[in-house]
Amino acid sequence: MVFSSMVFLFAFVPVVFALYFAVPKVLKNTILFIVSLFFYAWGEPKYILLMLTSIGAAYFTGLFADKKKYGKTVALTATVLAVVWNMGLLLFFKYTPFFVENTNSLFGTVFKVPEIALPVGISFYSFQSLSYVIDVYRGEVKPQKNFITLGTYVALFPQLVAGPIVRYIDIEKQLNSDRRFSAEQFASGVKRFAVGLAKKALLANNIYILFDEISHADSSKLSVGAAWLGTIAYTFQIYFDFSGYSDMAIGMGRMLGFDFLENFNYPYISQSITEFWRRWHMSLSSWFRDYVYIPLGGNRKGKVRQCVNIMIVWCLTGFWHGANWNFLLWGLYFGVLLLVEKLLLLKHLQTLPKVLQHIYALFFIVIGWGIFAFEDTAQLKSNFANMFGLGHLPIWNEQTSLWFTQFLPLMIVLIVGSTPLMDTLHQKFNEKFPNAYQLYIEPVCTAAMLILSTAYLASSAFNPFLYFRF
Amino acid sequence: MRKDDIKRNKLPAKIMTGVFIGYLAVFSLGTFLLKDRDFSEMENRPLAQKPKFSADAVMSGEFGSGTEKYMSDQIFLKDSMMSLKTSFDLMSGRTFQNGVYFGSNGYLLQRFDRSSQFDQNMQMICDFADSCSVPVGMILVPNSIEVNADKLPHGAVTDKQLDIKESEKMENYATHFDQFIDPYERLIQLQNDGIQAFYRTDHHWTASAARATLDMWLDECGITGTDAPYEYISGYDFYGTLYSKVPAAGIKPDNFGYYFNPEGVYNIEYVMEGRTADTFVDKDQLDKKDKYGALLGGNFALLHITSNAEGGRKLVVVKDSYANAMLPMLADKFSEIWVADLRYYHTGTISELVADNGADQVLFIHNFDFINEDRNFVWLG
Repeated sequence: MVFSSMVFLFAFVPVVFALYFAVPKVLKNTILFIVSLFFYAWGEPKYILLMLTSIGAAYFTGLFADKKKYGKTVALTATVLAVVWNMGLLLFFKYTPFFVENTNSLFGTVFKVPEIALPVGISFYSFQSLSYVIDVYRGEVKPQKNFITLGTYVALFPQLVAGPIVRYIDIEKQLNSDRRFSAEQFASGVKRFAVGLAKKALLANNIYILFDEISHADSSKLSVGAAWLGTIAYTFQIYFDFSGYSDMAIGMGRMLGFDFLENFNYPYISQSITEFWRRWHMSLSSWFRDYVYIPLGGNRKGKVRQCVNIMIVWCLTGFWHGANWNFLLWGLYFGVLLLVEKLLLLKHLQTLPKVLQHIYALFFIVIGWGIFAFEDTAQLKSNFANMFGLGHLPIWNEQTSLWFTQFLPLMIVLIVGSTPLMDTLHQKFNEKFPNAYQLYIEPVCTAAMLILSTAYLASSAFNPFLYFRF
Repeated sequence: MRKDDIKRNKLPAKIMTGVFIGYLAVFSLGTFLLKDRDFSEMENRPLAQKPKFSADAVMSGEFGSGTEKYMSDQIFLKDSMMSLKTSFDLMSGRTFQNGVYFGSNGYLLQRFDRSSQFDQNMQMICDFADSCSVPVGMILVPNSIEVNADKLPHGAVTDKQLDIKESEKMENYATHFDQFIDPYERLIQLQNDGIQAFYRTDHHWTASAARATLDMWLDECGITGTDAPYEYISGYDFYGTLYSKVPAAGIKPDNFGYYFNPEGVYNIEYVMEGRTADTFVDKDQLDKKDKYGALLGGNFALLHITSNAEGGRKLVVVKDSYANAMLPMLADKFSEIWVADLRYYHTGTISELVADNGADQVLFIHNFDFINEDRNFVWLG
């Protein structure tokens, strides 16, 4: 099930909320666990067993990863088992077809490429399970003895399918039934959810139309400008799509009494690629930092080793996004950029005027999404050729003008929405006219966003979340 | 997020909670309690119904996707929701949506993108004309976007049908026919005289445009123009196919009308369907949304029309839906007409139709869009 579907909004949510708030505290986790499994099974019932097995694996390995109780050998074995299980799942379900295909083309073999449907959210929940077991091993959290509580953590429907990747340590207390329930908490969740829904339904889906038209246009209609416009459209789409989902997850979590950490912090206002990755998909970057980069030695084993570690992390980050060469290339691209910045560029960058720093960062971000957008290598190449004037296209044409003018107002909204401007405005309003703002403006805006988003979702054919593939 | 926006006063939080609960309640109760609709007049398509529940359907995920479709089709205020979306897009400057431009005076204009299919189709029709044993005529109607080009919004991009018409290729195509009718100038003139040549909300032309064009062809054939004592029957509010694509709020309906000859006696045989009718207009359909579809009740593989027309002329027509507005008047000039729609007529060739029935001539009635896109001309034989 996805958040932006009518089934979720008008069947699942009303029923789940009614149940959740009707039952006493001791039963709330049970309800959450059951409805989360239902949420997961809705689209792909066959993988529900996989999910349950995965929770079981996390539960038992977590129990035995307790060094104090079982000693180092047992705890380490349990942790290694958890790593093997979760990585095995990912490798098998996500990467088998890719490896078989490439083995075939590399060695001329003819192994049958297996048809494996990717279980939704596997990249997210396997990372969550793993972080829990490792944290138990490190002694940072106590093992969870209650199966349902642990199941609730792994399967919690707000962040189940597209993140943020919530660490057990961050919501341990709330999972153990220490959740705040108040009108304020609920209302702040509503606002956040409405913002996320609007980002998805009104902004991301609409700018996708531009990307889609340009990426499928006949080359006679294209121009250099159009190729840039298309790639920029994708840049906006992926941000508003993904951060919109995170907003909805955080909002939904808040309504249910959880506080998830933020996942995005206005990534497009960054002044360097290093800063971009501190602001983009923060829960993933910090996961790789805590569970890959630092265990590999981080920066404690010398410059050379640090560079190697950075490249390992970024290859993995790229590959995590999908079993395809373009994602690997995308990871490498950022690994190299980050290294270059770290080793020589960053010092000089900071002496430049801010405008130039922004342009520098945005240029490389957009190029990055150009790599990310096309899984088809031929399309990827031709898009870059078009962008850099190697595609025998005019610089600009009438069709490009049409695309540009039709989507200019939306683009302006997207640019403003990528900055903290609206947030600042909200605060200013709230300080100056707290009554008018809180009693009228905010509720009316929230209702408008909800209704308008529903109108868009009910009438458009296109509505997948980009990050579902991962 | 911010601690300071959670003030001591609980009223704002209660209002916000109320907003959310109200939103969920209105849409879920509205969706589940109101009676399901079978068909959407606005979108001109059948709507998804409740999926069947079975273990198999659940396990295959069919039940899930069926429920998604069902709910988004039956969502509370679906039509208003679609209008809201289209209108909001329009307000944000999107004067081009779903392949349709919002022109001035309420005209919806479907964009024309020339494809290589156009020349392939024309070549096939020319080859047929060359090999045909009887005279072959063609009426090639430009679309609304060409005739109403002056109404396009600023910066609109569309391939000019005029450029195609004025090309050498087209001059060459025209030489293959005994009559080749291009009504562009005539339709412009009609509009200048204050007569609507195309519906504003539909991709079809009006009966008046069809009649004026028919007169041009009759003139070329040396037959007197349409002269039956026609009554123009109109007054039907009509929201056409283009409106279904972009149902913005505030679009005014067209006034659908047709010419009725009180002296005409017709027998229309729907050959494949095995039924007959004695009028060209399906009155039941006039109560529904797609008024243009009332003409002959839509498109069929093969019609055999006989009438009390004088002169004993026999005609074979190969056509798309534009011809439906013209056939009622054509039947007053030809006592026997076979009408083939190549999208559906695949059981015989047109040559056979001509030979078997001793037709005197063949007439192609098509619009530019159709020639540009259709892939069924191989069935000409």
